[in-house]
Amino acid sequence: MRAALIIAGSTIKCGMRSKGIWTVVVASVLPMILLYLVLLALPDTLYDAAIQLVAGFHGEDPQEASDLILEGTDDDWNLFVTDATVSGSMKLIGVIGTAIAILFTVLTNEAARRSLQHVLSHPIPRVSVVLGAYLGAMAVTLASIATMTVFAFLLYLAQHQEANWGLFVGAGYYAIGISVTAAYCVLLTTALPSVIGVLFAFFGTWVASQTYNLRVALNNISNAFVDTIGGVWMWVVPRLGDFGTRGVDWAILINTKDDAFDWADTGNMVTATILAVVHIAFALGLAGWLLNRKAV
Amino acid sequence: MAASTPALEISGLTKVFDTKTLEPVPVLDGIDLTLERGEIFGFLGRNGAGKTTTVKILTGAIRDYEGECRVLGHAPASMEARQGVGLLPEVLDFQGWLTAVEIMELHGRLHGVPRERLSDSVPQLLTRCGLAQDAWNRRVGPFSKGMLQRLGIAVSLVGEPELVFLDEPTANLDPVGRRQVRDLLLDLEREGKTVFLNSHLLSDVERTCSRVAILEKGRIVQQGDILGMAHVQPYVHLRTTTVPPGLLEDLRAMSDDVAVLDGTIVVRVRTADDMDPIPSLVERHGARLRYLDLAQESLEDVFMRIVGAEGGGAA
Repeated sequence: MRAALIIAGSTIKCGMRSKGIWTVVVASVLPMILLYLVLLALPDTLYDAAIQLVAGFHGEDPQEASDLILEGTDDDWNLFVTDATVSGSMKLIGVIGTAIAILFTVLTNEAARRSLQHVLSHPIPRVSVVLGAYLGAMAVTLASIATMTVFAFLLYLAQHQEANWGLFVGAGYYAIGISVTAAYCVLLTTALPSVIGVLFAFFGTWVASQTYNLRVALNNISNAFVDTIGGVWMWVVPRLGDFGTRGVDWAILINTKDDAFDWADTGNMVTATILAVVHIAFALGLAGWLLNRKAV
Repeated sequence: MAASTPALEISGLTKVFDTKTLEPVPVLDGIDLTLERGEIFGFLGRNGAGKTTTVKILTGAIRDYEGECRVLGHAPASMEARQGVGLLPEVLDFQGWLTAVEIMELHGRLHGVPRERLSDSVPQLLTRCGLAQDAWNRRVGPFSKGMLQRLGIAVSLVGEPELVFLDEPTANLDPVGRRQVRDLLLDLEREGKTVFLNSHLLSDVERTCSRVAILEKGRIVQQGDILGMAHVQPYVHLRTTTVPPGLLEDLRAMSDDVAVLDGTIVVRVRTADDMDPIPSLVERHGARLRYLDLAQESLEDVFMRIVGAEGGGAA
């Protein structure tokens, strides 16, 4: 743990001084593109099976969810789809996007092989290298979180004269998402996007505030997931026709209630927990595997 | 970690990289090597011979290999072994946003050196390795290759190691820097440290190492004292005002290996005493002696002779 903290400390130092852009680009843009490509490429049979799987996991009937939308007013529909799409999709984006971002960064960076040999020659456990870089990058993204939070407050206060706490949590979630990728960038001694990350946080928050129904954010903690990328997502989805509908379907099935994410709902809690654990375990596991490969 | 154990013991070290698509490539093929504590050992070989792979195994980066390795009496990847080891990798890639001092402190702390000791040792090491003081607190991103190399050498020593692996330490250095590194190596030897030196600069190896091993295609083709490897028979180099045919005939009567290269007559002799009659021979044939020297085969000559015979290429 001591070595991990030392590495985390140097990571933070590097992160606060660097000006890289690639991590942000990879972590924010590629995941969305990939998710759409996956949805587009999924065969109908597989798609239907996946829908049933997710619905069954929640104990919900997909048809019932669809009927609810169809029977509702336009406002209900908008509210429901907005909430469900962005919050549900963000979970998928988190998992898929992180994997892509990490792979993209690692595979294109030869520096890993070089610096790791040096670090690994010290009497420290290998896991501390991964853990240290991860923790450090997480800390670095505090700058993004703080910026997004302040911006969200200012934005919402300007519009509604009251605070939007959902934006605060959303900013945190998004920052954690990119921090996973950033951790690897530091581990591989590439640039970390502290400066660009802050700028992107401004942009994402602004987009979210322009397109998202903020009433939902005040009522449902799950909307926190959407408030940055979610805005972009909701702008993109309606423009994709049938393709976009698939994305909406997925999101609805992950969040089948019109009040979106109810923390008292066991199914939602289990889903969120599993996704979070898978997300982090996958990231750390992949890092360990890559570390061993790159060390050779 | 008993001081009586050798610094390095390698027996039958073999490493095969499985490329999945091609036949498995044996990078190291049964290496046997022993380093006593306190010696500077030169590990030579052309590019791709397996030198860096050997260092990676011995410093714990590669853990999958066949054979037996003991570093300071322990398995190479063990904490005990790495505690006593310092490393200068072949390619340095420090975090460009950190200063030289910060990098030294980072590696020192990762090695377990207390902060208070680092505050004394870091300036000493940076000075000793020739990094100018005005660069100590600058970010290393814009550093020249030579500055990075000096920093890298300092980093390899920051953990106060007993055994130091230096992969091409004089690469990228100017003549002054090379001289400083050679002096540093000799200092380390005097301090009782063991140095495992990978280098292409054979003249540096020749001046600092007592023993060398030559690696070719994953196998050690020669190892031992440098002097022992060199041809016993020295060469006499002489330049004269003219080269009368009779002089060459007389010299060939002395030695069966006489050649004229760019106006210099090269004669292989059995012992240094054999050069004594040469001045009078030159005079007898009406020529004047301008230059006369006795030369032993250099390490480079040895390397080229051995590696050339093995693979027919240059290092």
